[in-house]
Parts: sequence; structure tokens; C-alpha cells
Amino acid sequence: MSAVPIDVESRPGARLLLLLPALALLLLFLVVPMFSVFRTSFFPGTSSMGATGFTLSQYARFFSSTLYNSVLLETVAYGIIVSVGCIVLGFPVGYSLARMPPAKRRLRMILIIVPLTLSLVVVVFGWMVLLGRQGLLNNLLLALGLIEAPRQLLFNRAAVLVVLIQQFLPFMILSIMNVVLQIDPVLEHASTSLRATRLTTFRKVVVPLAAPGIVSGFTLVFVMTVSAFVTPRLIGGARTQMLGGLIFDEVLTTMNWPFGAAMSFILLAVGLGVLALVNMLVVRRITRGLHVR
Amino acid sequence: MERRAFLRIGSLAAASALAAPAVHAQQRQFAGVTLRMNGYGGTYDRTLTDHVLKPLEERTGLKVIVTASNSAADVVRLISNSGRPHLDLLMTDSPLMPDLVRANVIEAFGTAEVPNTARLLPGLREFGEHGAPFSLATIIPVFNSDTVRTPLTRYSDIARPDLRGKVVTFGTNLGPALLALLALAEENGGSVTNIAPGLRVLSAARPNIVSLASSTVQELQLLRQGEAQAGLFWDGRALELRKSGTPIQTVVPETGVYSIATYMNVVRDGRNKEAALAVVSQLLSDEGMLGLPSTLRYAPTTDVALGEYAPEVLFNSPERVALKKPVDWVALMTQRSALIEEMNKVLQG
Repeated sequence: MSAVPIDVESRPGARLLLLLPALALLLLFLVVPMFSVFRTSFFPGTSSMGATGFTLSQYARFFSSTLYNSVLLETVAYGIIVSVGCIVLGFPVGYSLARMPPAKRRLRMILIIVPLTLSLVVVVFGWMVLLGRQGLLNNLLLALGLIEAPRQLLFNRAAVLVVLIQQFLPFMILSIMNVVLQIDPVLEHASTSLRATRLTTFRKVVVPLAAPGIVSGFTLVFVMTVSAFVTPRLIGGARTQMLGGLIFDEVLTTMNWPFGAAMSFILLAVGLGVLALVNMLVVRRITRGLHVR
Repeated sequence: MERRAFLRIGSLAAASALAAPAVHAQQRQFAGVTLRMNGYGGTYDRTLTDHVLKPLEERTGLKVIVTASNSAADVVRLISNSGRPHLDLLMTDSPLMPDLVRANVIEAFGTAEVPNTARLLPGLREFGEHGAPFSLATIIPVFNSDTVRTPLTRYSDIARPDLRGKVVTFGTNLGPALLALLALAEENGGSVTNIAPGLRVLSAARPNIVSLASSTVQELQLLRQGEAQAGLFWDGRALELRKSGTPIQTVVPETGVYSIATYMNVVRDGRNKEAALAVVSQLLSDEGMLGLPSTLRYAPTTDVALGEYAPEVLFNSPERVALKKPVDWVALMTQRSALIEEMNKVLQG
């Protein structure tokens, strides 16, 4: 007796049935809690315990404060810089991996994935040891005679960017690699045979076709960066603040859940807005005239 | 042996043998009971286990499972799951106590339930009959004597111009940051209701502050690695650094010092209130009290004699105890959201 495949295209009910477990899970454990947090953001005062009423004062407090506005802008800027940095560094790696024979690719993939298995705190403390005054980099620079005394390499914005890029680069590489794997190399050969230079082929064929991977990588890295708080806290020093850290403080330190909830939704809205904008401006331009899914 | 004596001894021995199980059962009154408690991790938890939990288990059969965690997160969990606690005993510091009291998630107890609370030093029980303070950690100015030539003498010295790029202090997300701010304020004529002088000192200290430590361990590491050479830190941890070879000197400001007490709380609706109170009682006994001074040199909270640990414990005499400034935690913590925002503004510039 052979199994008969279900034709989900012609049976919308079957499609819904297949989606139902995942939808139920999302509804219960994502949508309902998010709605609860959203409701909390409209409570007046500094506590949600026994709170009633509806006010926009938490949002007003956020937008009327120069501190929160500047931290929000800084957070979005970090998100964009880290995502672009990951694209620049990750694209060549993802592309080359995709063009490798599967056996070779497997080994290199392990090397890329292994850092993701380490605890974030361990990775950050590793960087602190590396960049510290008595760290490897300072010792190397001293030994080479490039500096006369140890430099302060930690606790600045550049250090935060470097560490965030290192943390999130594997996500970009994997996203790009998966899409480039779907691009038939024949298209690149065809472009070359039509006398296109390597740069033109890259610009007009590879990048537009890899755009979905670039965008999904950008989305992943951007979202993870804007919500980061361990790295900025440990690496960034006194003057580097990101909104994730402030939300953490409001929820766990001051226990001002209404304000923490409002900040979370502002970050969510701004994050979605930036991603929509990137999608609209960049992807449409790159893929104009192409049939890219 | 005479017949009468033989009979007396024989009947006594028989009675003892018959009574033994009952006596044993009475002594091991919590056999089969297991309580859940949060921990601070590392040496701290090991000390409490050795000086409080193990002796108690040997005597009463009570088992306590200690899970190291973030006590602020535990407080949030207890408040949000009121009536269904995930812990039976909660160890937490003074800054979080007002929230616990307000949310009514911890039990009140007095000398009737825990007689050892009568031995607590005057003024140390800051929240009425809620919680038992069992250890005092004090924020003090510290400096590296190899790299800082002029010793610090008070909290406000972190703003000294010669300390540019050398200072570390508590992250604004931590309770001690608010206490340090209060210290800076009171040292300069302010108070818990007038923090502005403290913020002015913090603003002056801004170029000096190389990092705000988000945990005690991070601050420890920064001072050990020489990333920071001065700052405000815990007395016990500074001593730990000095003992491990880092030349960190501690300063006791003449105008007074600011401490945080660590409290043991009996969680409302826990598994066994009587057993939880037994833990508190053992903690406040001489055996329990000398645990943390023996390992981390944190000061005890009762009239226990410190003995050999006295030279290295900050509150080792009535004069030193008198230096401890009283803190209105409720007033301070009510403003915390606004104060943290102000501190962040000042530090962001």
C-alpha cells in the first residue's frame, strides 16, 4: 500500500491544519504575552501591580526625554552599522562557502557555527581579556614597539561594534550562503560570456539574486543588535548605552514595568519601521526588473 | 553490684533505649522536608552551606536546595507569581526589600518565632519584622596604591582631577549605585530628598569614570587587571583583591559609611514556614553569623564575638558600627526610576 501525498494547494483546509500547531503555539506564547505587555505600557504610575486605567504618559515620558531619544537613535545606529559590517565581512565568506564542494563546506560550516555554541558572557569576557590593558593585543603592540604604554582599547563605541559584529557574523554568513546555494552558477558564466566584468557580474547578477539572503541576514543581525544589552554593558563603559539595557533596568532594577513595556514597544515599532524602510529602499532598487523570490 | 543498683541502672538503660527513637524524631523534626532557596553563587553560597545549612541538616534533617541566581529576577518572579512561590527562602539586599514588603510576598516574624532576632544590633532591622539581616556589605572608596599616589579619603574623591580615566563604580542598574549616589549627596550637604549635590559630583567625576561595572565580578576584574585604579567598591571584595596580590587599599571615610544589609526572608505560602524559620534561627546563631566574616570578611549583624576575624572586618567595634549611616530605603527606592534616569543623563553627557 503506498502513501498518497496530500495536495495542500487544492485543499486550503489541509494547509490550515498543518499550520495550526505552530499558530497555536505562537498565539499562546507570543501574541498573548505581547498583548499583556502592550496593555501594561498604558498603565499610569510606576507599578503594574493592581494598576488600572489608560494613559499615554509612559510614551510621553520617553519621547520628551533627550536621554531616551538619544539612546534610541544610538541603538538604531548600532543596529545599522553592525548589520552593514556583517554584510561586508559575511558576503565573501557566505559566497565562497556556497561555491565549495559539500564535503569541504561542511568542515568550514562547523568552524562558523562553533562560536554560537559558546555562552555570550564567556565570549564577552574573552574579548575583555583580549582587549584589556594587560591583554593580548596590548602586549602584541608593545612587543612590536608600536605603542609605548598599554592603551585603553575597551569601554568605547568601537569596541562594542567589533564585539557585536563578531557575535552576529555567523548569522549573516549562513543567510547569504543559503541563498547563494540556490543561484545557478550558469547565470554567472552566462554573464561572463556576454563580456561582463567580474565586478559587473557581481553587481548585476550575484547581488540582486542574493538579495533575499542579504535582507534576511540584515533583519536577523539588526534585531539581535538593537536588543543587545550584555555586550554594551560589559564592553561599552559608562557612556555607551543601548535601549535593551535600559529596558532591562526598568523591568528588573526599578521594577517600573509600565515604562519598561512602553520602551519595549517603542523599540519594536522603530525596529520594524527601519526594516520596512530598508526593504522598501534597498531591496526594491537592487531587484528591480528581476524575478527574485 | 547490689541488686537495687542493678535494677536502677537496668531500668534506666531500658527506658533510654525505648525513648531514643522519640528523642531522635524530635531532634530531626524536619526529616523529609526540602526547602528551596536562592543563592549568590561561589564562596558566598559555600559559606552559608557550611555554616548554616549543613549543621541544621545534621540536627533536624532539613534539606535546603540552593540555586544561584539573580535575586532581582527572583523578586520579580515572586511578585508576579504571588501565592505560587518558586522559593521558600529568599536572600536579598536592602534595596529590594521595600518591593517585597509592599507586594506582601514575605512573612513577618519576631523574637517569638526566631529568638535570635533579639541579638540583632540596634537599627539593623530596617523593615520592621520583615526579613532578618545577617550580613553587612559596605561601599567604600578604594584605590590602587601602586598607581594612585594621593590616597582617597572620602567618596567624593572619585571626582578628583588626577583620577581621569581611572575610576570604576557600580553600574546604574545596581542597587549600590543608588547608595553610592546618596553617599555623594550626603557628603556634600544633600540628603535622600535632595540628591542634586550627588549628581553634581557624579557629573564632575564623568571624565574619570572608565566603566560602570554591571556586576561585582566585573568590577573585581577591572581593578585586578588594572583597567581601573580607583573607585567605589565593596569592603569584603576589596580585601579579597588585596589578599590575592592586587595592591588595593580601602578607605573608611570619617564622616560615615554606607552599607547594604543582606536579608534572609521567609517567603509567604512556602512549603514549610516552621522549617524556614529554623534556617533563619541557625543563620543568626553564633555559628551562622561567623560564616561570612570567616570567608569574605563581611560584617555580622548580631552581638557575636568576632575573635580572630576582627582585624579584617570593617564593623569590628562599637565606634565603627556607629559610623554606619542610616538609610531610608523606602524613600530612596521610591525615586529609583527618576534617579537612574538622572544618573544616565549625567553619565551620557
